[in-house]
Amino acid sequence: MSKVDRSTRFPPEELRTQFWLSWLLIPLTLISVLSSGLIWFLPMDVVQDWAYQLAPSDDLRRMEAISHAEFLCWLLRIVLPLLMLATCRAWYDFDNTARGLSDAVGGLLAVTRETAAIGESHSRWRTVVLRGLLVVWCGLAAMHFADSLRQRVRDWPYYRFRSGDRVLPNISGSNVEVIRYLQQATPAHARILVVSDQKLFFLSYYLLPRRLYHKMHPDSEHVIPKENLQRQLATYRLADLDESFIRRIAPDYILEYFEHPAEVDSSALQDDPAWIAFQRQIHRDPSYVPSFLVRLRRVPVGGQP
Amino acid sequence: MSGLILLSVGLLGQWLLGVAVAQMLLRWRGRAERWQDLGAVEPDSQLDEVTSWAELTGLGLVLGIGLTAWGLFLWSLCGGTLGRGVSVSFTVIGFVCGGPVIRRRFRLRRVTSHGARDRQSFSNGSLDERRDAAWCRVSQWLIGGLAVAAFAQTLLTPHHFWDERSIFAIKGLVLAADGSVQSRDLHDPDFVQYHPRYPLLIPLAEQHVYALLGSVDDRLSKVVFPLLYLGLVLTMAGVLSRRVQPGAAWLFALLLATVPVLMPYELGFLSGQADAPMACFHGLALLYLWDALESAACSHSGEPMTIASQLRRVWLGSSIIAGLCGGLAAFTKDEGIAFLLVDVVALSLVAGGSALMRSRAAGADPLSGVRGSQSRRRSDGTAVNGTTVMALVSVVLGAVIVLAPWFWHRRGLPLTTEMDYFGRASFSLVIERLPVLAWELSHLAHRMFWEWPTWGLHWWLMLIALVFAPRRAVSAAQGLLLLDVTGSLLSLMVAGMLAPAQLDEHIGGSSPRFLMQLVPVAVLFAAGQLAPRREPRLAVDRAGESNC
Repeated sequence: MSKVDRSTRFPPEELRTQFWLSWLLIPLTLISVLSSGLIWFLPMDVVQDWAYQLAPSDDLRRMEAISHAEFLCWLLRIVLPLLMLATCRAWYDFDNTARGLSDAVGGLLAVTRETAAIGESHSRWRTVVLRGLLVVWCGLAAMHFADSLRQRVRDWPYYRFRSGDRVLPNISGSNVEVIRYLQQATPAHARILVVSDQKLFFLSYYLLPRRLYHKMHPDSEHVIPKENLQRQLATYRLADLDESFIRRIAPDYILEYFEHPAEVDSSALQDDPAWIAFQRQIHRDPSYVPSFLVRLRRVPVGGQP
Repeated sequence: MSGLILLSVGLLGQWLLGVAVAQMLLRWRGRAERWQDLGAVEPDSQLDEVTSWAELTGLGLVLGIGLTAWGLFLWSLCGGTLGRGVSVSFTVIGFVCGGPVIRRRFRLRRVTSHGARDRQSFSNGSLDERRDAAWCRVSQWLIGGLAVAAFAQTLLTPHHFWDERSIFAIKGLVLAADGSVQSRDLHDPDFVQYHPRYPLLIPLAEQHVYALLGSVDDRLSKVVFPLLYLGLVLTMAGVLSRRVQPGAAWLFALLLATVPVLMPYELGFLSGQADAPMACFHGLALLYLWDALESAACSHSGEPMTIASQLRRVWLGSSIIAGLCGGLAAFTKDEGIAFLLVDVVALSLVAGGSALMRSRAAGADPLSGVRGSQSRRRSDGTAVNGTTVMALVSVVLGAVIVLAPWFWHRRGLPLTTEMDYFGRASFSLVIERLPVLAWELSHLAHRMFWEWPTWGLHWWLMLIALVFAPRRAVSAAQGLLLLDVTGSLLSLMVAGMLAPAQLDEHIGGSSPRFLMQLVPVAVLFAAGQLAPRREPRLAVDRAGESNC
């Protein structure tokens, strides 16, 4: 179609949109077609190897870099072909796409122009303020979206598509160790009475179907723990619990778990040989002694702790 | 793999169950079946159809999740065992009840699409309509993209926050393991769980996922939350489209979908916490009350319609939906009880204020000498007052139906770690802690307006909307939203005064999540203030709906 034909067939704003759209589509199409081909034909090993070379010489960082590269590669393998299809579709039906885009922009402008005038007198500055707010709103949304995507990339090496009980996310290292220890040291449906200076919600969650019972001290009921034991929680010791309470719980095991230095009896740190063996195994140190107290005892059937 | 297939089918059944209930309730207000009432007259445009689908789909998603959890609760309360059997039964019920509704809608869509296409080819529509439709399509695509992103991000993260695991997910696991809400452990004050008296909607919704899946995977159980996100946004778009131009309705729905604190903030719809679902249920409760009040306002613009019957129908349908959503909010988290009380008080104040203004207007009417005019006004006013009272009763009734069994069950649950606000409430304590109000006010203002780069611009939008159209803000519908936001903020401040916890940790830590629950109300208020109103159409009037 000649230039003259187009100018008579389309209104000026559509012609303007067609012009801008074609300039937008040319690089988008080129990038999406070439990148889609490249990202699908490039072996994952090559990408990961490249990430490995770029990472600092630290095992953890290298592992993270390899996983990040894998995540980004798969993300691009999904997004770029979709972008390619969208650009091809836009070229295929170029006039209608341009018209739709022009109409959509017109519709948005109409809605926001009217918006500033409803119920009150017409005012140009209100329209400007509102549209300005919407522009900032969109920018903010895009920024947060990009940030969330970055967070997913950061999470991927650890979370992948795993359930929480495999990852044990966002809990202290000592909690993770105690959970892993109890998982191997107690049967699946054990009832465990715990005395502790910790809030044990995560242990309870990840140890199910084992059931944890813990008499919470009233003074620590509404106290939020702080990181790195900055806040000591009031707690019951085993001797503080009366016999009728223990009988009611009818535990299969009793666990004493204290972390705060003021609560830890250093002479009792190695009382539980299975715990010490477990710690030495995971820390790969035959003389390792943990800094917090964990003591698990089996309660004989019908017996006293 | 079979578990994943069953889960997908189960979620579809859950949605269909919600669609069936939503259709039944929307029918009350003469919306969903509008075209059928008209005898299959073609709709005004295809746009209307999409909007109607949006409302039905969105409300179906929200009610499906909420009522399935509630149904499972009732089943278990009556002694039934939770597990795959009952979850599959709910799925089958969903397909049986909702399947025909969707089939009918598809059939109707085919008929109306042909009609719209024929007419479009004949007249090609006005430029404004075409532009509005184009903008709507763009918004719908963007919302669709955001929903996909929300699903993807949710499935990439297992439960990993304090509250989501210690309050809700742990109960979901116990329910899945024990198969009963009467589980001995959930009633044990020493079993390690946080807030044992918190409601069970989320744990039951997650248990439903585990039951269908046949195993526990705390990534997949989070699928409930993006569904609620989609439900909230679609319902907002659908209901707003009744009152304002469709383009504006979808614009505000898009704005709601892009408020950072709802999505993609980590503790919003991407997490398994109850705050975002609360925003959804509470937001929808107010949306339908707002819609009812808007319809009442439109009916007063002098249309020769039978106000009493029109309003009764619209109000009843809307207020029952609002009551159900309010009840589901209180079945999600304890804040829902405060919200419900605030909603009812705000609605009563608005109804009382409207009645007072009407009686004053009638007294100052220059045509008061004309007997007919005066008597017609009086009868209309009486009808409206009666309808308002009926609506209030319906809201309370809807909520009571949902909440009565829960509160009956809740009496037996332990109080460990509970704040027990109502038990602690006393005049002397409030007086004693009055000085903390200054801290709370400055803290909330800081959170709402100063920290906008973190949480979003919705409070600024609300403020600008209030300043731009102050006269509109005193209308009944907008007044309800203003009163509700004010009342909710007051309730948070009172909670801070009553709580036994350290104030800056308690309110300081929870205020972003509490304010998140009010986001849909803020956006709805802005839409009501700023969005261009929809013009009345003959077809709608013929259908017996009071649009304006």
